[in-house]
Amino acid sequence: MKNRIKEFRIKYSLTQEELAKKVGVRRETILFLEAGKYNPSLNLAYNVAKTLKTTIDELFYFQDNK
Amino acid sequence: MLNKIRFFLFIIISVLIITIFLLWTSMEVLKNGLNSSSVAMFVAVAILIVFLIYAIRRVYNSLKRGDPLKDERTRKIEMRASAFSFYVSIYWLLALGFSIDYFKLEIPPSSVPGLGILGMAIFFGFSYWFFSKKGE
Repeated sequence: MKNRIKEFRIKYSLTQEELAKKVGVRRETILFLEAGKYNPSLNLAYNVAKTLKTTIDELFYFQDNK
Repeated sequence: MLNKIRFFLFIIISVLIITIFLLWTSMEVLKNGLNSSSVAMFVAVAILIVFLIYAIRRVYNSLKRGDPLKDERTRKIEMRASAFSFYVSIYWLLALGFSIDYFKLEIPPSSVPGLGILGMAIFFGFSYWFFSKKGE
């Protein structure tokens, strides 16, 4: 599963640390999320999408879909 | 505040674990003298101490940055590492039992559970480190 977290994070001028604080997770979790090495729970995916003012399906996608 | 309490509890437990294992290995050396098994135990305790220092540093840095000590990823890693170390330690105990019989190792029966727990702790440390580097 791929994601556009980095793209949206840069759009809102947020650092990984700031996004992590807003979502309530450790900075490493955001790092692994952005690298596509960690699949978040639905709850975390929702929180990240909400913080980045977007939706889950905009943020996360499977490679064969795009 | 809760994080600070958790940090101090973690340090107290770590110091207790290190002290118990150091006392145990020292007593073994005093009782049986310095042999290959006591050296192996010292090495194992040293590995455990390295892991605990790494964990304490990690927790301290998180506390300093204001990060939560645990989140869903670290909980997942903990669960996977616990399950993996438990599974591996069953075979570790079997291998230990076999080695004692086959190689005629002079390990007192009272030390075998301790070696099992020590092995489990080391496997947990390795698997936690491995899964946290892997990402999930």
